[in-house]
Amino acid sequence: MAVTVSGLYFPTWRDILDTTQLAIDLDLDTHKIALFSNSITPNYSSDTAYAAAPYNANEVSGTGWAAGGVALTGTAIDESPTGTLRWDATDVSQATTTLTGARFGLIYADALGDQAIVGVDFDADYNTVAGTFAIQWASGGVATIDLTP
Amino acid sequence: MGRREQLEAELVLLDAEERWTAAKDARRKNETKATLKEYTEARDNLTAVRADFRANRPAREAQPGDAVVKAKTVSAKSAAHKGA
Repeated sequence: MAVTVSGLYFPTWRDILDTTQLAIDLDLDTHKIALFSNSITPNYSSDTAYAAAPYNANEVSGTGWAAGGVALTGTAIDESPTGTLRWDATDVSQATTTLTGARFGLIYADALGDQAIVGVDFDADYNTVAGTFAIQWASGGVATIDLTP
Repeated sequence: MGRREQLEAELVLLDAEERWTAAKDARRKNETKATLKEYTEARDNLTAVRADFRANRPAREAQPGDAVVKAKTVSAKSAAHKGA
């Protein structure tokens, strides 16, 4: 079991766009990012939500970072580059944490039904000892969808 | 970028984020031409300020006990159009 790739979760994005009309507002500042170890294996075709397998185990939490994660704030949708939908957010910074083996971030709709939106592979395990756990989003934002070939 | 410039840049970013949060809340409470206008302008301002901040962000000094994840953008890309 291991994290090898980031991705968008098909079940959620299907439900947003099809007759389900899942009402996920990506502008909300209540979506959360929860941390997981490299013991999980995300499946972007079938995984559905936080607290549902595989996100019902191997969560990384500790002092300063509760189970369930922290809110993603400053979320915004814009076009960048041309023809590409970008979802961006404020960098995450949580002080005075003690965490071990954070490898993966699950972004989910905490105010709705915990639906999994985006999974982020950190490419390495991260640890803190009474320190700040920070996630700096790249200039490309949290996630993009290329709408034009 | 010196420490003073860094702090000033962080304040500008914070202002932009607060303006954006207020604009989103205002539009949710009441959809009007004014709230939509401010929503659009606040979003455009934030994206510009963020881009500038990230482009000029100095390397963070590693503090004992800290961890900084430099997350890569999760990109869903379409295949190149090959034509008929």
